[in-house]
Amino acid sequence: MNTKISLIAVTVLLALGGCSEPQTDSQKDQTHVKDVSQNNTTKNKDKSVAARAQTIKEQEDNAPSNPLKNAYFGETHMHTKFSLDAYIGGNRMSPLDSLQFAQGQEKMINGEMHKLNRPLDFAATTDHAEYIGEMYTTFDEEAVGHNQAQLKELRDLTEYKDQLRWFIKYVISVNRGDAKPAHPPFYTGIESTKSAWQIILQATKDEYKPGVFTTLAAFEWSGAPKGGNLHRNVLFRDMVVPEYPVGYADYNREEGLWNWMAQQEKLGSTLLAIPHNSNASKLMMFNPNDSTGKPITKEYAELRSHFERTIEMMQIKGNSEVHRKFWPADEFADFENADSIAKFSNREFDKRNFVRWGVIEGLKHYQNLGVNPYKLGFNGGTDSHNGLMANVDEDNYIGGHGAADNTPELRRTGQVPEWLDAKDESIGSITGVWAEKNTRGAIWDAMYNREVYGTSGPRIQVRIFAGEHLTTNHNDINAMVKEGYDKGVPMGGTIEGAKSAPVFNVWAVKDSIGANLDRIQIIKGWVDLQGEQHEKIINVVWSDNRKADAQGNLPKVGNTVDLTTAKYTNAIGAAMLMGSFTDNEFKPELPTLYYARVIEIPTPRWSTYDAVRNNLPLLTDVQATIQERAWSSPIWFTPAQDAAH
Amino acid sequence: MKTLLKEPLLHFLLLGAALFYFYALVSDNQASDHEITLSAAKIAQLNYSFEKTRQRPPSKEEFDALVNNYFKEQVAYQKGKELGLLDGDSIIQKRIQQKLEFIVEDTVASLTPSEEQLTVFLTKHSEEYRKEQLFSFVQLYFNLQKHDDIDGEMQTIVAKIKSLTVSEQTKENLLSLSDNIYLEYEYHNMSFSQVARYFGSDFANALVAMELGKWLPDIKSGYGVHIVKLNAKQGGELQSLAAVRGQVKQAWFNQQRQQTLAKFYQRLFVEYQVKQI
Repeated sequence: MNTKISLIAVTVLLALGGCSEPQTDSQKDQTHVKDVSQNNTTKNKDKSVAARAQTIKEQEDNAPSNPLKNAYFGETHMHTKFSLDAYIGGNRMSPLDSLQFAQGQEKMINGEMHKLNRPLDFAATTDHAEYIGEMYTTFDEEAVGHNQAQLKELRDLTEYKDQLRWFIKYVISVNRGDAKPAHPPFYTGIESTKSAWQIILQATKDEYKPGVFTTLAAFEWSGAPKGGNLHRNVLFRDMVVPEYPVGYADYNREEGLWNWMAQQEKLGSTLLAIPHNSNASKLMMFNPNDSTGKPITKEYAELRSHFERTIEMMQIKGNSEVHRKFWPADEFADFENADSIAKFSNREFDKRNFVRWGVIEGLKHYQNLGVNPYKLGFNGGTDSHNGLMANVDEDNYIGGHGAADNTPELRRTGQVPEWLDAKDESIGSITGVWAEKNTRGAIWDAMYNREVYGTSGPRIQVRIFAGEHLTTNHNDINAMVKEGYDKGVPMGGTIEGAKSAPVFNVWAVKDSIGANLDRIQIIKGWVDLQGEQHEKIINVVWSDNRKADAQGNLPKVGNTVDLTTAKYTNAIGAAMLMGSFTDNEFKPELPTLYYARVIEIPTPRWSTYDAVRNNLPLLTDVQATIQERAWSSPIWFTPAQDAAH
Repeated sequence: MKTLLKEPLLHFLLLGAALFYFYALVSDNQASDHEITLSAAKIAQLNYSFEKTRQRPPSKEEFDALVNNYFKEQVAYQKGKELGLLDGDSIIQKRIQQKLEFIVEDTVASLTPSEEQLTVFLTKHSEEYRKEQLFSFVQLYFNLQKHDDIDGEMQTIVAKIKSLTVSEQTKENLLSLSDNIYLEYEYHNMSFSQVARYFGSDFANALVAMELGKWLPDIKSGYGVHIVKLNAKQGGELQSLAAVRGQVKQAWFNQQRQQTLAKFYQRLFVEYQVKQI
């Protein structure tokens, strides 16, 4: 039956394409690929490009700048048709399309027009580096090997099921086992990878508008030994980039990737790596041993923390901060836990796969090694395989994985293959950075310095400053920020050798078109001298004049969501919150970290919007309303070096 | 031939022919629908999906069960189809409709708009391609939760501002009348989208319609209400095709796609004599 249906497509296409040029021979193809890559390399040396670089530099210098920094929002994890799994799901968005979508343009996804509620400030496309060459060969009619049997087969498949089968046969089966990963049989060689990378870079160059919209060159390294997720997105500060990105087949473990990154640094690139989905890492993300099974060393910790500055807190495949099962005392832990990821690929839930556990464990390694391998800020991303940049508004969700979840019915009953039930998908999260201006350098530096944060979608702005001698309870945010930079450190910073109780000033403002705020919390984590983990959650400032009990717990903020209309009101909560916390329990001899978590009032989950719009009953096994949130990067306190050793 | 290829009518004819061909194939194969076989590829897939969940190959018994289940699925599908269970299944119908629409839409992708077609399109929709507007304004913020009679208080404050001389209308004097928020007191040449980003689009739209040089109360944003004075407004000019070619081209394609689909349905409505009862 399937073949019969695809016959229509084939017949129509054959009929329409009947007049095109005769197929190019392989000789001609090879020349074409060489032309493309040569053109791109020579173009870079071209005078007009030098002139363009000059004007880009001028535009960057002249971009509006705020010494107290602005919050800019963007995407750091998203796939175009250059990612094989995305293409198979029906994604036909090019990197250029995705970057234009990010700026508010309307694009066609899964046969329907779609646009963001609001444009983004910056974006990076992060295609799986593994197969971009193969994808180039698939799309480009003049590419070498375009007419190979397997690729013809792929292009002719119209059924998602068949495409998936093709994917499993040629791709997954050679890549998730123990065997050394390899390119599929139709790979035509490194020239095709270079050509694909050039196309991605060209879009990155074309759409960069300093001061208005920043693009970053990037790719995803997709290592998943034994099905454990170790994926990293690699982001570049400028256009000094390698000839081609590397994937799992080049380096099958993370140490190999970092060593490659160190080589690129020597060659003039400036780059960092962002890990994600520790929740699905099968204990490999925060493993006390390296990939050869030996305990990690100081050198390992130095290399890792040099390149890995921030971790993606949450995305379509769930929230990695905490899980309610392991953090029963955290009243907000039951949030996009994506329980069904444990149904697939032999995954199990374990506390040691979660980010909060990981960053606190980093303090223990610091005690032992003198270097913290997991000194990670927090950021957001979607991992959308639809080419949709940061499409993170719950009322605007149309699925994240092409044909797997592109209808309300599939989102209720379907599955993302190898991953999770579609109803458990979160809509993903977004990255906020504090930067003086919207340029590549400023945005990348914010990530590098961990002055970066994640939110589960709303454009909440959050700031936290720490210092031993900060004034408490400011009334004016500008005064709080000025003092914070002068006498303390912002999120992502470190204070070494503090002797007295540290003061924290926190501030958050709601999304300008979103829901009010419930509260700001500070989450404190530390390890004792035996290396045992400890944590404490402090409610710092909250809305509606609620009274905290003796333990500091607050009554719930309430819930204004009408489940029959999927509407809420801002009758509860606060537009802006500002407050202070002094940690009188602080122990200077113990490494400690603190991060802020801002909680919104309850709003409808995407599944509730879907149900109301399509006149379907609410799903009973997912939450109908959620409390969206923002996570600041931590601030670290380390004992004075001589005290630690 | 090239122009003929671009003719949508030809596409419909071809599509019609393809459909006919397709139905002929289906009826030819009726008999073989009663014979269900298992291909080598299918066996590989069954084995693979088992291995994915259990991390080992299936045993002989398990494999037999897999095959048995597969055959059950296939015969149930065939029988269900014969019993007419496909009819009226909204999920299947929706999916088939989507597939058919994809095929029709694909015909549009092969078109290339001429310069003239794009120019005509832009002229028709010129309003949508205006240059972005830039605003210079000052604003004072009021948190609704901190005021019992916000309307009355704003009136009083506007009256007070107006009673001040221009040199007395300083940032310090005026900000002390309002509530604290992170927003600036004064903005210069801020684009519509940036205003919408910081204040929400209701506020930005209010600026579009606002008179210059007047202190106006009750301008709503996502945070509360504002008293605003708009000092200058620029931009909003119509743009040439060269400046917006990419967007126009895409919009033109969308329009073609919609029109092609509309015509396609028109034809089908006639063919199947659709009428309301």
